[in-house]
Amino acid sequence: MRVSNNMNYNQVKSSIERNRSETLDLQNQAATMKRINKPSDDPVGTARTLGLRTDKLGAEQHLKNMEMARTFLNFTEAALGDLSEQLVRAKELAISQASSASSSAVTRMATATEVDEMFKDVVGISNRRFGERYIFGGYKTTVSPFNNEGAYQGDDGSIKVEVDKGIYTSMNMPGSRVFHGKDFALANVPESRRGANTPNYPAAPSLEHDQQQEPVEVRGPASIKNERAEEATAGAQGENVFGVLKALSAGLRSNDTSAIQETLERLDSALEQVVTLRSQVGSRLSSLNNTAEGLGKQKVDNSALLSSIEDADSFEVFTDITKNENTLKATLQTSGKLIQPSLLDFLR
Amino acid sequence: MARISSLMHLGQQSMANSQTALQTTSHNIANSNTEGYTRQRVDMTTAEPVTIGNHRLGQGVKTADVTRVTNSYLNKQIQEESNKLGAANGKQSSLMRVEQIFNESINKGLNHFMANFFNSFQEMANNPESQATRALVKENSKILADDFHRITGQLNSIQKDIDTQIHAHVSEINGMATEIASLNDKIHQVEVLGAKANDERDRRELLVKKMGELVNIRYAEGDGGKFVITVGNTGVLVSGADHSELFTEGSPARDGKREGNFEIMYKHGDRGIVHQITDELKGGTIGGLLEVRDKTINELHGNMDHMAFTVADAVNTIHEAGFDRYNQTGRSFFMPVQEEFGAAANIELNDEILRDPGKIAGALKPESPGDNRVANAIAGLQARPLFKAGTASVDDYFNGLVGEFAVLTSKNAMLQEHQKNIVSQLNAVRESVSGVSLDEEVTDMVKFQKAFDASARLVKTADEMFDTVLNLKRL
Repeated sequence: MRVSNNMNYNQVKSSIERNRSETLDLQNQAATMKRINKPSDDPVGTARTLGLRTDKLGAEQHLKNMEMARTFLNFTEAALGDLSEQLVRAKELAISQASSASSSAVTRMATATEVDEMFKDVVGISNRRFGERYIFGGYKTTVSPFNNEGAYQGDDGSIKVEVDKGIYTSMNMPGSRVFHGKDFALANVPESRRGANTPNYPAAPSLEHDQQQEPVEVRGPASIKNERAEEATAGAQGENVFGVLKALSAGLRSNDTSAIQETLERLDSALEQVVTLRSQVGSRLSSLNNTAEGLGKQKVDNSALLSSIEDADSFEVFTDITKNENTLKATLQTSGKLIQPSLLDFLR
Repeated sequence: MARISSLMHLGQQSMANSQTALQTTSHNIANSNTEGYTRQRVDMTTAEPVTIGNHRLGQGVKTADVTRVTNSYLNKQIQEESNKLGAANGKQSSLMRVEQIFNESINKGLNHFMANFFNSFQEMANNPESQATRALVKENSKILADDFHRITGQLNSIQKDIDTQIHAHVSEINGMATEIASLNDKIHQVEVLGAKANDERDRRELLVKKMGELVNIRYAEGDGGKFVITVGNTGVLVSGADHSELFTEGSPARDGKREGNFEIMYKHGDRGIVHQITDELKGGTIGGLLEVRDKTINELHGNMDHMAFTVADAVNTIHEAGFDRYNQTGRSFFMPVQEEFGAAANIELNDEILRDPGKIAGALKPESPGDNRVANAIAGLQARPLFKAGTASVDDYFNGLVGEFAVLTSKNAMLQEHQKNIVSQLNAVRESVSGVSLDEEVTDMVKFQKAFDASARLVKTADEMFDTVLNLKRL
């Protein structure tokens, strides 16, 4: 084959150019330690990394949401603990004052005052705030949910936060259920007791009603119905804590042992109601912890996957760089020898 | 019987001939690095012999022609492949810029801001009473809108930039057309007298090749060696010594082209009949640039508009049903966008919300500051299949878009590499045929020099013979 000088030069030029451009690419990979530096480096990988990054941000947000729900629920649990302590104390007082053997009209009057104090404490518990938010007010978190008489001014709203894709957990327990036993059914609550004292609720439509009116499909809250089904029985009626305490106080004042006896039973079911709700809060907390653990693990897996897709294999990159360097040296060396001599060097 | 004077004449002819050959050799050496140069050869033939007596005596040599060593079929092939390479180059240069808009391996982009946008609604759902979480929603929404603006802005500026490039290339083409027309004329003038216009032909072939890299052309050699060059399908750019010109003009939108982008117009001769030939230009750098400008980028514009419109619309629908801190309802979150076209450029946060994030609606019921259902519902939109007939979420849609574009770019990069190899291979073949080899030229130089020396000796010998004859009587 006839070889012209330009063929030599072009060959040298294009070999060096190719080598240099490969080295540049490898150096870029070494500098960023990333295999994908622009989308066209790996189109499929790019689309996947974008999705994984979104997932990562989503998981971080879910962990934040959970942290929020957890502190809120912990706070609620503490309040419910305090409430049950008060109820236990009330029960003790009721027992001690129920029999005429150990007590008299005078001790009952004194106990009534204590019960009245207790009533105020319970109102205090019912109006507890987490930061600026009343924890027992349902959605009405900025006004105190109970007045001094124990009448409810909040609503039945359940504040949901997303803890995983499409999974929502309620982070509050509406005061109407805790203190008035609304939608709360206990198997052992006597039939006769139910609906005994229906408190006066402000005209707040039930959540189910809202659901039907909601103009948009809300993905998460669809699960509200399931959760509520296990926690609450619509239309059922538990015990009104304030009503019990009032009845106890009234019974003590009027020195009516049979009335005190009767409140004893109601105190039992009130206590049971609070304890049950407290355990529900507890189970939400433990399920949150489980989800958080799963999410934490998922985050790690996610990062590992992301790294396996977009990160450069440093060993491979450096080996390739060395390989390229050698090729370049060889090219330059042979080119130098190839280009130099011509017939002119030998004609004297 | 041979004559001494004839011998002298023959030597002289031979010397002149060697000089011609040496001249051509030196021309080859001088132009060994000239782009598009084709090596030349002196075709020598024996001079017409004479019959003297019973003998047919040779009369030496004569120069028949100086010709180019070339393969015109190869040139045609190079021109065609260069056209494809030009298209790939034109596309790649702009695709790489567009790619950077969607490159999130280092910078944060729309995907990130979209996730933040929805996450901030979750943050707001955590604490709907707080002004701080609402401010976060406001900021992230503004960033999202700004990123939509950034993308459309950058796409627009790439389109503008392509216009400038096209404009420059069009003037290049006009320059080449002028030169080709004058070369046509010169070649005709030279060749009508019988000589070959080698250098002019080289130059013309090079110009045609270069023009072919820029735009799809058809060419043919007509009477008197004149080229006729047609750009696209209808624009006869060069015909003999005459040439027409192309020019660019910003014009209103038409199917596939945005308002203000350049059309390429063909103006015939001085009579000035003008018609638009943009759509006829498919290949070459200009064709590649046009494809990116009018097809790829406009599709991306459409996709971004669709995305911005759909998201804004879905968010607004939910937001309008909600109640804000002041128990007001029916406010849209983004400024209502009337039509999809231009939505990405026009998406803006509602002014009222921008001034007071308290007007972001998070509640489904009035008077319920702790109600976060609307905030939750908006956050839930991230996973809702709003796109592609209910099969893709906003993330799927965008990520798919970036993936598709990346495939386009990497495919074109491969095509470009492939085409580069083809062209360089063809060029190597051309170099092998037409390129100058210095070793060869030096050998020729030695060869012709020796021939010249020998011819000179011949003249000297003839001279000595004359002397001998003249000195006969003195002997």
